[in-house]
Amino acid sequence: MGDEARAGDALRRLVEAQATYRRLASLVAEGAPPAELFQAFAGELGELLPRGVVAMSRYGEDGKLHPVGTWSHEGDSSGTDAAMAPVTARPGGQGPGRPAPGAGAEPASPGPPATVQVPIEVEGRPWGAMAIWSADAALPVDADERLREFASLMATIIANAGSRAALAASRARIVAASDEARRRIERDLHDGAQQRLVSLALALRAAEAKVPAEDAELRSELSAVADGLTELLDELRSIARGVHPAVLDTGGLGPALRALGRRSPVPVQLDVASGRYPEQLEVSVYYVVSEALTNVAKHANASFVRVEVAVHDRALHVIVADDGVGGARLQAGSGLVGLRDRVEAVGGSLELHSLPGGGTSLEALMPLPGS
Amino acid sequence: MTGTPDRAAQPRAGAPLTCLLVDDSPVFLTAARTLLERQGLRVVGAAGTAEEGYRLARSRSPDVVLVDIALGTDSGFDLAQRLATDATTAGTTVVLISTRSEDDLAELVQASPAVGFLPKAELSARSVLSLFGHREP
Repeated sequence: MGDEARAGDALRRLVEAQATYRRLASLVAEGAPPAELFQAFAGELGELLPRGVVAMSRYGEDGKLHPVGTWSHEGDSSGTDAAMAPVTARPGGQGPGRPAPGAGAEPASPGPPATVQVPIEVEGRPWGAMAIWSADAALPVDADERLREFASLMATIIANAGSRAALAASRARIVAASDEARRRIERDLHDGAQQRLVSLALALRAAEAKVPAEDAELRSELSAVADGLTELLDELRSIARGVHPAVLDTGGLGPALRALGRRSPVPVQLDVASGRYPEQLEVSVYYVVSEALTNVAKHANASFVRVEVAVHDRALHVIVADDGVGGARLQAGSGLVGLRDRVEAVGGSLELHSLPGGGTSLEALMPLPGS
Repeated sequence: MTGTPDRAAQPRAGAPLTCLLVDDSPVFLTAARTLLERQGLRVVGAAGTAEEGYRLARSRSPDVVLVDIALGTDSGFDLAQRLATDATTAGTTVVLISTRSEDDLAELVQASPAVGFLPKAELSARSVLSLFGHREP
């Protein structure tokens, strides 16, 4: 082969590898499930290499390799079905056997190899292995090199997918931890400060009841202090509710959202699907509706708000729509940005539709677990 | 109100209204008992748990049971339901109390067998009697 031909070959391989990478990377970006990704990896490898079987395996917690994806040129009319059979169906026998984990290239017979296996290392740690079995007598001489390129490509994609999953999980944990902290603060306020203040107010009323009828001045002073304590309690109660809506724990979304509706200065029409949902979702729905109603009251100049919570396709759909002035935007500093972070942390999405003069609608979609 | 018991605190001639307090906060139980007794009610028991509340309601037959909605790990709504379905206590008037907001809980109180709700800060012999008077016959 001349230099030009070799350069052409190298270029073609590079272009192919790039195209492969793009296809796989977009699958990863779309959040394809691992099993589907592995199949796609193996399939792409099968396309790049000669006819044969491709298998990928991953180290399990037992330290052994477990198959995660296999691929073969089934339907080929070459008549070499035996060599095409799934890897797991070939316990020894004729032809290329299954290579030992991490064994690297191991010729099944003298001459060019019919089987090649290379390790997959993700971020410096052994992750698994990729192997090809050729249906022909031998694999091309550069099969080992090409498989290594592919394994390294795949390691990058796996690492990216891992980072993405780790980021999403960490985001969800942060929101869950914050919810838990807020729930605890509300409970501490309720069980501690609020009970003590209530008790002090009652003790004052009890003292007031003992004041002789003729001492009107002392009576009114005690009464004023007790009234002040009661106002302070109202204030504390409203703070506690802002920290965590305890009514969610007791009655779920229906009573909690209807209470929000009653407090809204703009009339609210509520349509809430009955039933209980995971805590984190109920809290998220509550905050979406609460923030949206606050914005409607502050900015929308609306005469009417519609709040709808429904379940479609294993997901909670929340819509808060008003007939106000519109023109709202999701911008930095807006409570809506924090809300979007929260909704995305549970795997959902938040959208704002608000044309000037056309009212505002905020829509959130949150998948239910197991969907 | 004066130092002498409020006349209104006597639902039956000569007999003050008897009540049982169920709340997991000891400091509240003490304050509530002092206040209600000073205002002329007779507090026949104070329970810290739903189970103890149920037991005392059966054995002491109070006119009114004041039940905190958040009873630690128990729910005051469950206790109200239990008292309403038990033949011994079914005639007892149940009033739910809480430091939490009335409008948050209104709907749940409505759905419970309790005759009504009192914010803890507004607890008094008068407010208890007013709810007792409004119970369904």
